Parts: sequence; structure tokens; C-alpha cells
Amino acid sequence: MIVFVLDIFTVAALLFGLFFMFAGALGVWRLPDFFNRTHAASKCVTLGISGLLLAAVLHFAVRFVGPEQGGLAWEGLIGAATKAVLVTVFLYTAAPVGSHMLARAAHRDGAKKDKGTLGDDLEADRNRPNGPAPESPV
Amino acid sequence: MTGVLVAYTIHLGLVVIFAGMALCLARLLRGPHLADRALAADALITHLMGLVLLLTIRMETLLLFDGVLVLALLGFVTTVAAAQYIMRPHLRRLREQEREIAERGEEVRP
Repeated sequence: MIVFVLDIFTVAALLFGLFFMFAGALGVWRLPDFFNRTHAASKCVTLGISGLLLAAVLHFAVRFVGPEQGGLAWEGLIGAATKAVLVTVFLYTAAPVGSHMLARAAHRDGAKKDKGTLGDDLEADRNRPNGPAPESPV
Repeated sequence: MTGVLVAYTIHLGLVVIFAGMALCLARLLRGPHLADRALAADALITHLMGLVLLLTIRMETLLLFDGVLVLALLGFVTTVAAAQYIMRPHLRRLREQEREIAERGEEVRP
């Protein structure tokens, strides 16, 4: 019974992660300009990876502490959970930093903006009448 | 019984992830700006992480979990290097602006 429930949760986590991953890839291909694309890539793909990690940990819970194994091998589950937490923490700090750096460099390099863009405060700060506003590099 | 369900979901996941990799690869080949290509490469590495995770579940082994961590590190380093590369031609102008601002006596925001 517990194996059945854990398997259902594994499938649910897998489908969650796969949906967000495909949504991110579709956004990278379909959205109109760079700044929209970085939005899709950095959010959806990170969420998708966390869903797949959850699925892996749940599956190792079935595999290692299920009744077929006599509920013995905790080491495998603990190893999988520790590595999953490490990957999640690293990804959740690295993805915003990386995409912010890339977006700032692209804006400085003059990446093309979509026609529907409502405003650009960084550009306005750079072109204000009494010289450019103070701004940190990178 | 439900092990078959997990196996079928993993096969579906292979199809979905390969479709996503094809979309990212198309953006990598097409992307009008260099930053688009860097972004697509980052998304491609993330899809590779997903592929390794699916393989981990399918093979029921813990050997490949470290590969996920290595790929995450590699993707971050790639993105940062690409951002620095795009930023580099503009750095001299940024320094000049900073000097001008310092002469004007305004405080540089962190």
C-alpha cells in the first residue's frame, strides 16, 4: 500500500517537473525578445528540475525502504535526499544570479526589445539630462 | 503494478525532454543576439540535468546523482562567462562614466 502511494506521488512529481520544463523550453523558443525569454528560462526550468529531483527522492524511498527490501537500506535514501537538497539550494541561488548578469550585459550591449515593451527605467537613468545616474558594473 | 506506471511516465518524459532540447537547440542556432545563445545553452544544460535524473530513476542507481550537481555548476559558470564576454567591450565606457560621476560628487550605488 505504501509503495502504491509513493509511486503515485512519484508519477505526480514527474509530470509536474516535465510540464514546467517543457513550458520553459517552449518559452525560450516562442517568446518575442531576450528579456521575455530569460524570464521563461530561469523560472520554469528551475521549477522543473526541482520537480524531477522530488520524483527521484520519492522513487528512492520506494526502492530502498519499501517492504521488498525489508526496510533496511536507509543510506541510499539519505544520500539521494542530501544530494537533492544540495542541487536545489545551489540552483535556487545560481539561476537568479546568472540570469540577472546575462540580462544586464544584454541590456548594456543593446539587445533588441519587443515593440510592446512598456518602459525601460535603466535606459532612462542612463540618458537623463544631467549625466548618467550612478550604476554598478555587471 | 505501479512500477509499470513509473516506467511509462519516464518514457513519456524522455520524449518531452528531447522535444524541449530540440526547441532550445533551435534557439541556440537562431538567436539574434549573443545573449540569446548563452541563454539557450543554459537551458540546454538544464534539460541535460533532467535527462540524467530520469536515467537515475530508470536505472535505480545513485551513481549519476553527482553528475547532476556537476552539470548545475557547469551551467552557472557558462552563464557567468558568457555575461562577462558580452559585457567586456563596454567596460571602458563604464569606467569613464564612474570617473565622471565621482568628479560630479555623487555616490555610486552598490
